[in-house]
Amino acid sequence: MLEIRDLSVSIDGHAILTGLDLEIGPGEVHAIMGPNGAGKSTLSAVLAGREGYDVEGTVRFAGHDLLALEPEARAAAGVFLAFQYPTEIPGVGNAYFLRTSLNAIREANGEPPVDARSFLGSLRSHMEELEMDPSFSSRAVNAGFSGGEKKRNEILQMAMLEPTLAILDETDSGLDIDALRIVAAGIERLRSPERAFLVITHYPRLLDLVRPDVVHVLRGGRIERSGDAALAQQLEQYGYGPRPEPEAVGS
Amino acid sequence: MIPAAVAPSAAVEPSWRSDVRADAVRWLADHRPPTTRDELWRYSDVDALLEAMAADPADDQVDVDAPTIARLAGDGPANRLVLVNGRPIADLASRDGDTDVVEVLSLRPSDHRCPADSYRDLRHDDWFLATNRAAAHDLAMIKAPAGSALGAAHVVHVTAPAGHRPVAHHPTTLIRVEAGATVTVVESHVGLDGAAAVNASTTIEVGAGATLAYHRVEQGAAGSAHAGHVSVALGPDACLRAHSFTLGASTTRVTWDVVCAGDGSSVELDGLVFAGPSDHHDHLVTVDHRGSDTTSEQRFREIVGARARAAFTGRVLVRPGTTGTSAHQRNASLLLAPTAEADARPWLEIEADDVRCSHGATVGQLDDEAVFYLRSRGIPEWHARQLLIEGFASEVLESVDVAWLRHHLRDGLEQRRPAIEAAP
Ligand SMILES: Nc1ncnc2c1ncn2[C@@H]1O[C@H](COP(=O)(O)OP(=O)(O)O)[C@@H](O)[C@H]1O
Ligand SMILES: [Mg+2]
Repeated sequence: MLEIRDLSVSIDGHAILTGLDLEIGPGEVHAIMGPNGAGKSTLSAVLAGREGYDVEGTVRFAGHDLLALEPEARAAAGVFLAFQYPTEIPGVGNAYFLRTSLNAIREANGEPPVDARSFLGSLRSHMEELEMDPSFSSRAVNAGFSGGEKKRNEILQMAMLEPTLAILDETDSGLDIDALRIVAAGIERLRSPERAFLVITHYPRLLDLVRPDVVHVLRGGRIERSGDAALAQQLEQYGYGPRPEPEAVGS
Repeated sequence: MIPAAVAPSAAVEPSWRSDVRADAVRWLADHRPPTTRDELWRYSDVDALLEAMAADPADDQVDVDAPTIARLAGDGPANRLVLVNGRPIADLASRDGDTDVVEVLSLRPSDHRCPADSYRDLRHDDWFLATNRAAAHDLAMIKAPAGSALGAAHVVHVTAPAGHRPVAHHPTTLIRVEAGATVTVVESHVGLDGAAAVNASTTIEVGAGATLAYHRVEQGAAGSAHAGHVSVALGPDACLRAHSFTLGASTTRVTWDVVCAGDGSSVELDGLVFAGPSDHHDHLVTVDHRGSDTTSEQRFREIVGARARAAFTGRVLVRPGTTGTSAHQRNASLLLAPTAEADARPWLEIEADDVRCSHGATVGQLDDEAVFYLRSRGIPEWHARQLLIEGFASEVLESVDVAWLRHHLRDGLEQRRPAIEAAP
């Protein structure tokens, strides 16, 4: 589904990613962990189509040359990025924004606009599941939202847009235990055989609730290590440094 | 210099009316029109305004139907008066039972009733205002009787060029809110397609303890010129909640002169200005704090297209001997292209000590991060820009309590989308 080959990204001559390879199949959940500044957000931004990077390599997604598409075309093709720092959009109501977004994606895919009643119905039920107060549908997008409210709002958008590839950039950071559980349940509800997830996180807490199929360590500009869910626990225990030999630990 | 538009009518006028007219004509003979060397006109495209005003008077009788009025000016429950080229059109007037307390009428030049002393006593210190007085046709008159509540009036001034001839139109409105009354007035300036200059004057008196919600909407035809003058006198504890929308014409100058004459009076004025590509808009707001314990808030927002220019001057005068004045102003400009230009000028003349005063201005462009955020949700770039512009405007629109007007203004902004897209 997603195939990243030899991806190098630099900004103003400063190399951030240097030959990254990653492959994610339909239905899979991949986690990416890695130290601060390793380039995790850069990777997700490049996949979503943010401008300002020098990008080399190839990214294929569901038959598309992803890097050749405009950001809106990537969204229409099924890519969704939950931002680490969601942007505030003053004066634009949340529900209005979501409906505009949904209809833009539908239009790009040759589908008719969503019926207003069913849109509001599904918005209400998703907001209930995410334990969001109904007032959030009329408030301006992310404006004055707390950190946790912004993250929930990202998951709400993901739930409404039903992407085939969801990239979650530290969606769990700054969430309290209850919010983490709600957000994780939101991700789990969307998990399906057709849908893939790339979950960027620092904490195994989230990965206990959203079990990944593969865990990667992004470090030194590329995927340094990959393993199963147990790798997250090891990283929690030993950090991102080279894993000490078992005998060295005992001595 | 006396403009072509001034054509003193030979019709029989009552003396109060001919006095005002003669007085204005005399004033015009003694004064030259403003230039950008005059400090108060420094940011105006005054030459373009004057050139447009030199056109023949708009006095043709032009048929306009109700759907056209609804499309141009919106339609809602209010006592409505429609004047086309300064003449009331009875068929387009409507009354609304629930808002009936307010009196809405049109005074013919031959009418003997003098509507308000403020009309008679006007100081002709503004060339455009004097020209309006010299040329005016019917006066649109709104009166909220003492103690009345729930009144709502909608005055629509339509400028209708006949054929391809440019016209100049001098609409006049008088609003009188008597003591203790509460009323909402919407004043729309709209135009049929064609070259036109509008030189509008509104005179407002708000009596003791009265409250006026006043929404001034300029939505003239594309390419038209508009000079507007609003003068307001506030009595003791009187309250003015006002909006100033400049959304249609290409060249404008709108002047607000608010006098907080009575102790405890207050004014809150929100403005929204849309400058399409190459437009030139200038707004001057003066609040004169003559009473004590008076408050004023001026908040303006300008959306400025490519090669366009928008200026805002917020003037605050605090008179000696007053106490407890609070005066605040804020201006925010959104530049849609590097070739757009905005000027914000606070102008404070404070002659008292007990004053709380603030001013601030921001000039920004569309937030690239926000554009990317919206695009990442599938919204095409042009639409993302449009949403952000609407969002910027919406903070003003949301403060309009009149729902039908709010919707009408939103639609109006949406129709100007091509003008936004034309910006590189
Ligand atoms: N716009 C930018 N300009 C310059 N350097 C940047 C920019 N964005 C990110 N970087 C740098 O790239 C590196 C990776 O950043 P980021 O992708 O945010 O890391 P992570 O998300 O893994 O913490 C950091 O060293 C960061 O300072
Ligand atoms: Mg990051």
